[in-house]
Amino acid sequence: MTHLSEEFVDPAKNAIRGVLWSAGLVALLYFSVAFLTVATRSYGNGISAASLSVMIQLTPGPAGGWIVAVTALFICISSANAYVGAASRIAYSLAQEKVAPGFASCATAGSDGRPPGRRFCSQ
Amino acid sequence: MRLPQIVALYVGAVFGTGVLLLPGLAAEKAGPASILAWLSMSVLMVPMAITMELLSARYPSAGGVSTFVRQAFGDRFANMVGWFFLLSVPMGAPILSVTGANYLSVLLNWGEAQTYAAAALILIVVLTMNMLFRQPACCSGVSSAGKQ
Repeated sequence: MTHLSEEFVDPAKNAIRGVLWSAGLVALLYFSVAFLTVATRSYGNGISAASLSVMIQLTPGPAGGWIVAVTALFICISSANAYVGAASRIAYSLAQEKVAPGFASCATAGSDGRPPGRRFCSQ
Repeated sequence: MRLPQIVALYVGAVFGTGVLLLPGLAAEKAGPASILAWLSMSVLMVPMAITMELLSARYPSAGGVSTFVRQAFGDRFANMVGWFFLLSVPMGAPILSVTGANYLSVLLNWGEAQTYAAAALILIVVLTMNMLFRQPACCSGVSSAGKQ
């Protein structure tokens, strides 16, 4: 996340306030989900890895499960995509600095010879 | 970006994929005691979060952690940060794929083989997209997967 600080309006003030608010919110959200996972016993027996889906199906039924599953798929695919994309961008810049084998640069440069990512980690 | 956008981005990046997997796994390992683990984590993460933010407030840059390391310890260690990120990808990307597949498998009563086949498919789709288009969707979510 720290790489987005360039885009902040008034980074000195907003970075700190942003992280404090976010830390509080994330802690609260994680705690609530963890608490309900335990309270509804939505874990164990091979369901732990998708306990959110199990938990949500308790009230609205399978429809809720589908909504969560589709959302989860989107989240996972977009994160995996961003992850792989960022990795190729970093491999490229490491190759440019001669600390990774040169093929990393060929493998990740676009057809115009420019790096694949536009924003991630550009110095 | 102003405060609400910053908070939304942070929460999305940190919370996004973790909530799909971690509370369930923690509960399986530790049972009700996992709630204590979450409470202590909420407190323990504060110093690190504040350190990162003080650094990014002082050195606003798109390079993130590697910029701070470059400032403090020079190019060699900054490049090592890059390598560590690269090393985390062969672990992180499959975990994300399996997590996504698990959510389908719970609904469709898939066995292990089908779940991992679906996960492999997700991974192949992502890798193919990146090879064909070579233009990553930008960064949100990356650091949640990388867990900084």
